[in-house]
Amino acid sequence: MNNNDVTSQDSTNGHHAGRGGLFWFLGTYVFARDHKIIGLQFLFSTLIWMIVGGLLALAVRWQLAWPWSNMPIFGALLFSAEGGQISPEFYNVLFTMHATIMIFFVVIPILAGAFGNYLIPLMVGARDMAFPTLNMMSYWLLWPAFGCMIASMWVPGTGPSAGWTSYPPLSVLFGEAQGLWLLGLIFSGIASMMGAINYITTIIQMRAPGMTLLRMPMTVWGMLITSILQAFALPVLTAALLMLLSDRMFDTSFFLAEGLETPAGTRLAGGGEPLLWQHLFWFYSHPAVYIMILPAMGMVSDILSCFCRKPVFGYRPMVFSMCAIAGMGFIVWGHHMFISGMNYYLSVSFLISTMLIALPSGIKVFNWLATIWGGKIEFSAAMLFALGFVSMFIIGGLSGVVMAVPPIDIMIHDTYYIVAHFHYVLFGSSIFGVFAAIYFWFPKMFGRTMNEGLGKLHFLISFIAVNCTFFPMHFLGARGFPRRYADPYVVEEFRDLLPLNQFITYAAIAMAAAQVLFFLNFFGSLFFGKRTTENPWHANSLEWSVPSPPPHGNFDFQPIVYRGPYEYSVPDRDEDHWPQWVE
Amino acid sequence: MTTTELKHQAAVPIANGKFAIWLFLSTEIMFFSALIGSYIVFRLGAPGVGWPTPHQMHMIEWIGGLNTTLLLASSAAIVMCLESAKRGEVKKARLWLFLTFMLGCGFLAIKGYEYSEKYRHGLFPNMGRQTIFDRVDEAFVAKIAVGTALPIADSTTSIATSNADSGANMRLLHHGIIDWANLELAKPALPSIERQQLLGAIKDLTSLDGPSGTYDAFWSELGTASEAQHVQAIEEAKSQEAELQQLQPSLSATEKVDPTTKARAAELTQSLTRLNKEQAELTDRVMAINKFALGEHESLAEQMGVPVATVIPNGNLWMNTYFLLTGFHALHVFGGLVAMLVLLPVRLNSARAGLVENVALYWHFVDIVWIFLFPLLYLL
Amino acid sequence: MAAFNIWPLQGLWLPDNYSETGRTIDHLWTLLHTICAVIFLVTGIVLAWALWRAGTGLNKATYFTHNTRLEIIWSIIPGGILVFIAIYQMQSWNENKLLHPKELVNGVSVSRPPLVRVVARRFSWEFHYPGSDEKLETIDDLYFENEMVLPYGEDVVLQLESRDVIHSFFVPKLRVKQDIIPGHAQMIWFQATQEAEVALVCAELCGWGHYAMQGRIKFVSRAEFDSWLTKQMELKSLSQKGSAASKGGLVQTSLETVSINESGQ
Ligand code: HEM
Ligand SMILES: [Cu+2]
Ligand SMILES: [Cu+2]
Repeated sequence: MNNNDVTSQDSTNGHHAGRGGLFWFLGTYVFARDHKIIGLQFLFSTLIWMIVGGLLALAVRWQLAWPWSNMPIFGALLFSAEGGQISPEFYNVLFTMHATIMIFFVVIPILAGAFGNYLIPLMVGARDMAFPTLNMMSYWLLWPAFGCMIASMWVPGTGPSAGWTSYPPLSVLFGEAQGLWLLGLIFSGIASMMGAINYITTIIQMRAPGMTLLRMPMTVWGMLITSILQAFALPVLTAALLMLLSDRMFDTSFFLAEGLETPAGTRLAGGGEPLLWQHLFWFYSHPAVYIMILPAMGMVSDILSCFCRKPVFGYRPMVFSMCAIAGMGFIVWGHHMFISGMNYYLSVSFLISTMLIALPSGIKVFNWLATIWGGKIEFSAAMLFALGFVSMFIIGGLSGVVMAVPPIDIMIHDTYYIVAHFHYVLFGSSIFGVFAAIYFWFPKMFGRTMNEGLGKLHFLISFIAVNCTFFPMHFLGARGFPRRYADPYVVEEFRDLLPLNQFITYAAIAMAAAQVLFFLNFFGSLFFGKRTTENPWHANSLEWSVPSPPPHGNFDFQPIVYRGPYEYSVPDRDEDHWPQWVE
Repeated sequence: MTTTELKHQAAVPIANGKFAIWLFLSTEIMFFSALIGSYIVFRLGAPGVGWPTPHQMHMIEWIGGLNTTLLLASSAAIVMCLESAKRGEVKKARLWLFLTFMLGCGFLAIKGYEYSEKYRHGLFPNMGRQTIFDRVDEAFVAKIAVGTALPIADSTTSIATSNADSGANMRLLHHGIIDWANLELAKPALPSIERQQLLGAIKDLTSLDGPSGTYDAFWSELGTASEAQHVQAIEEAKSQEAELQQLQPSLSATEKVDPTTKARAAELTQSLTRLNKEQAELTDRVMAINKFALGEHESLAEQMGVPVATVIPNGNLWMNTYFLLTGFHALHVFGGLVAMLVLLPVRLNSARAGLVENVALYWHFVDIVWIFLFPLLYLL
Repeated sequence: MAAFNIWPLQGLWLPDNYSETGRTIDHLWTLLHTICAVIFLVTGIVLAWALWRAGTGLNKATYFTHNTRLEIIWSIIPGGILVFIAIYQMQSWNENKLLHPKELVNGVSVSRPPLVRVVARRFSWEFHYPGSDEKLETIDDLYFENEMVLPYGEDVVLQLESRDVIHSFFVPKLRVKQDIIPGHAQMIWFQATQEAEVALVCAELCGWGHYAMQGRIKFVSRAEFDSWLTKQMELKSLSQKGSAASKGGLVQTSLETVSINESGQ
């Protein structure tokens, strides 16, 4: 162990060759192999994509509130050809790209890519990831994916417009841009795979002495389980994507049935099976919804515990529920296909497995509540978002159980009820979790804190707006209001739902406005935030043992772990926290 | 900068690289499970007469078997390479690695040959169709594409002259070609020039076609005609044999033999041999025709020496999955070869045995996938 | 089920239901939402109470890490509820998707044959009725676009097909939804309870015109239905004989020929 140096950043950050020069810059900040830099690269890229995805969502909302009317500002920019009006084709592009971007380029990479990268080595007590070069490649492979997605939007005619689920035959027979879209997903999938293998290896093999598996922070558990899901589910999606691509490019017919009518006349027999795509797709995409929430669950558990100054309630059941969710996540995919025309006896088994998987989700909620119970709560911005996460997840989980009942799903499948459900779990939970994590770890990442007041305002508006936006969607769904409709009001029965949709759009605009606050706060604090110390929140896990921001190589001492990460308010101790690294 | 390595407690007592390779291989298992699973779904769900047999698709067992042997041998070779590297025998290790590499290349070469054979038979997924036609003779197709009717008739005769009934063969071929051209026309992406040519060819061929009409009628006609020919040949042989019999006494007479009788006898003997041969051929042919009527197309094509466009039910699905499975397997083989190419110039001593081991693990995996594919595609 | 009548949520619940089997769905819907509301309230109150208590200024948090008895209780109770739901919904699922309606033919119970063949294509619905031969998929089938007439008070079976991409046959007021996968003919069934006119919409993204892919279904009594069908057949044969212009093909007829007393009852 090295005692005589170096807490100052300069001497630890340097490379042998000294700083300065183009190559140094490229090596340190662009093709960086340091997990922290890569994590930040992920963070900034995904935040930018979040803005893009958000704007797309606003355009969708615009059309639903004021169909076919000219969109201010953006209309003139984007649809000048149609006189500022959204065409039905473009409406489909809007929601397709919104979902694709938010799922594959925001939620998944910000959780696993940004926070996974940044936190895993710090939390387990390693200098870096197991394979820094692989890590770097996994980030840079995202760029071809970004490129494909952007390019696909500019393909003449329309962009990708088959929905994020890309069901064939629609996705094969129509739309020039779908090929690029598929290619983009394949790239991002390979990038995720590389990341997943790296994370699993790091977590399993590179924990500091004393950091047993059951002393790992929940964040690390979340990342581990997520990576395992990625590793085992993603290859199936990759295979399916390649088959779909081949249907488009090489005239195969894996997913094309016999005798379809196409724009070019009747197509001869294909013999393929459109349902196979749905099976393969959901075999990945159901685990993917957990990929999109388990890391957030982990981070929120840590944040709750820290700001309640209390141990996470039932650490082991929490870990086991995560494992159970991961394991059972592989056998519930059929709940997305209850009325798809698959064998309806199969639906029953998928119903049962879905009910089973709802149980560990419920247990996690109860554990969070018990964690909060009796705590000495500090209502910081991070804590507020974590609380938001818990309450929104309750709603999303409950609506999940409702939809998992097949007869009810007959009524609400592909309606706004589903849209409400997954926005509660994805926006209300995952994205709130991400915000909580950003407020919480920002000091570690940049050595400065974000403005608390602005943060609380951000939470307040977001929380109200999220509920005003997504809760009424349950009612829309109850009426049978279908999703993915460019103009639902052509149907007489839905005409009276226009005012409610307008209300939702106003709420969505308010929500966007709240995010402006966030971005101002975030980028402002990068430069003007209050400087902070190693451990501003008096938290226990290893990342708080090193300077903020941590130097290259993370630790200038050999971290040794003496206890679990949640020893807050231990009786008979003066200090209310007892860090893992303190003997 | 602190360069000291940190201590870690690893859960699994192996190197990180090897751990990651195992992880990577498990993801690969999922990938191939998806592909093979899809294959099984298609195969079990194939409508109608079911899945094509390997022979129908020109799969040759011994070629597949050879490839299996090559891969197995290469797996053994890379194990030897690892052993040598562990013992520090750098030269030997390099040799074994080179052998592995060459065996892998051999595998790909044979695979390439198989692919080209498939292409030659027109067996590739080139349109959304469930029925696939084993390709008609290429000279024909070329002629049709140019759209000239006359040379078609010429080449028809040239191909079919070896057979007695060239007109019937011609018609048979025309039917095959017309079917094929119609399928070709249904391709949405067909360039318009080609479309014109094909339409022209169909028109020409239809006008060449006799009035007899349908396929079935044609087949029964052909069958009856061949039958008749067959009978005729037998009759002829009988009468000639009788004549020969009659000549026999005068031939065996001890005195001088009439030279004309002698010549006639020789002629008859010759003609009888010819007739016998013809008769045998006709028997084969009638059998082939009957078989064809039962749907066994290839024997006729072989017997007549003319490739006939024949329908393979579910052939399209077969080819989709064949190229999917073997294609991705071949890509994996290729990836392994690249890794070996990178390792070849490296000094493979015991310190680098870990590298070899990782490549070897991957290579065994590729091998195992093939062990699954071989019976699925060649035997079952 | 009647809609909610609480301000401002009037009309923001399930729409009217005109189907026998739909009743079970509505029943489950109410049950599940009641359970969810209870769970939501309980957890919400616990959360609010915990936060409120914390706000009143504790000196130190109470240190506890687990409570096995509590954990067993809150695993078993929700587990029991979930199992109950899973079993309880089976009957409704049976009725809606598993048990094809039967009918008696010469004393033998057979699967009821489809009354109408529904063909979906981008972006319209085609309804094929059997012609005078009483068989579907024959030359004398009657054909309508986007408008369908059906009898109420009896099991109606429809055969669904798609010509191009996946569509979904969704009738909110009948609680019926079924994706139509090209290459698979699907059967659905329901029994309407009264005279009504309902919207049929497409619930699976099928392209730019997805939103415009809607039809109307009118339910009339069996007698009216029969006379309507006979009339349509006559009209068709008339137009075939009468005009050279319509070359014996399919005739499109308008629903206007049935008069439904909208304000009736
Ligand atoms: C208690 C746990 C959950 C249950 C029982 C559940 C159940 C379901 C069911 C049955 C559907 C299909 C509805 C339909 O298509 O008719 C669905 C859709 C969906 N769920 Fe969940 N869910 C749960 C948690 C989550 C979580 C945690 C996420 C993500 C973080 C999530 C994301 C989604 C998404 C994105 C869809 C819509 C997919 C689409 O059709 O585009 N769900 N959920
Ligand atoms: Cu799911
Ligand atoms: Cu549609």
